[in-house]
Amino acid sequence: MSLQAAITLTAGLIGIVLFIGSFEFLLIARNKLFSQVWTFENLNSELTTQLPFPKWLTRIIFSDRNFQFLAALQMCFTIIMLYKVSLWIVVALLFVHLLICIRFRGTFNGGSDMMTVVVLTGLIISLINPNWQKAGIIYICVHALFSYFKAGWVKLKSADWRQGVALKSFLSRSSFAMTKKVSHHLDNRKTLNLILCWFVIIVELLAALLPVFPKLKIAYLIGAVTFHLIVYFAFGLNRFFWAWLASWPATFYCLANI
Amino acid sequence: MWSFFDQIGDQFEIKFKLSENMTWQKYSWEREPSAVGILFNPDHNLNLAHYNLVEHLVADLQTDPDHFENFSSYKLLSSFLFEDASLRWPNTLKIQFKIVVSKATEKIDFFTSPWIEVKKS
Repeated sequence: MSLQAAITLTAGLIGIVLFIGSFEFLLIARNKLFSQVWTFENLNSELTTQLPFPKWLTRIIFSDRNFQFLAALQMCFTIIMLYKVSLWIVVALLFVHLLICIRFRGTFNGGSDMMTVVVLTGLIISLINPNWQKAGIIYICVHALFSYFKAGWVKLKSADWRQGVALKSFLSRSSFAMTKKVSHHLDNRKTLNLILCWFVIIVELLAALLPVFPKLKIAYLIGAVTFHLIVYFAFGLNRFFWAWLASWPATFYCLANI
Repeated sequence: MWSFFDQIGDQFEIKFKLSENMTWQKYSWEREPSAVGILFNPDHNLNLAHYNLVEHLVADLQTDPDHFENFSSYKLLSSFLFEDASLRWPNTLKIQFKIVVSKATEKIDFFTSPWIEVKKS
């Protein structure tokens, strides 16, 4: 994979993430459980006291109607980026994405919003200057590999994961009945729980070895995609799947070339 | 804010009632998976955002339990529970909810809201 192909593919995949996000927000905005709940009136006290903007500006940016405008704007910018990647359009997407995250008081969809910021920032670094193209791609790769490793490291430090009780517990908290059933199947199966928890820990920690053994990259990519799919089926985190996938062209390029 | 699912932590339940003489009902966050959910999953993502409000409110209450009505997390969660009840039971005029902390061996009432009534426009 060439450097240019890695950048183009990264932009394409993060475009899919942002398009999905915009479309979901436009659908959500029509849901009464959003329009009557996530109102500026309910968010007002936090936004106006915690943001360094004048109150009138906060009121305009985060008004109920402008949320739909921001989602539509993000969708338009995404379509433009999918047609042609340019620095200004990626900067604009990052700006709109951050405004939407602020409206949801941090993030709407947790880690996927954070990874979206990482990928957009890496793309911006790549596009600022032709000499910085590699730096931007390395930036995304380091964050992606570190996210897997860190996830394994904190689990390794957790007694619940080491003793094999964490995975079953998280599965039991899913909002899907099917996932809860899987959790019940794991009841009283200590050895199986232990194997599954340690399997997750070891696979995540192995990300740190990829720069040393880059030949493992295809196997790890297949494993990572499978893992993200399982997380989707277990917890319904669709954006998580696409956001991490968007980091893989950069990771793949770095492991193959650097 | 990276979350790595490393700590199990406490599990929170929401219980609610719609009148004084009603017994507390457990709010169910359970939803059906969508066939096209891998691409578009708006309702599920909104449901997750609403569940996160519970954890956010618990964290806020630990900082200043006396002024809970000022927290956006309280306003958002109470609006959500009221609207959700209104959709399920159109005659809903008021709701009261409580947050119950589920530990391994016991359940503790952590917070009980005042009655939240329909807004008169």
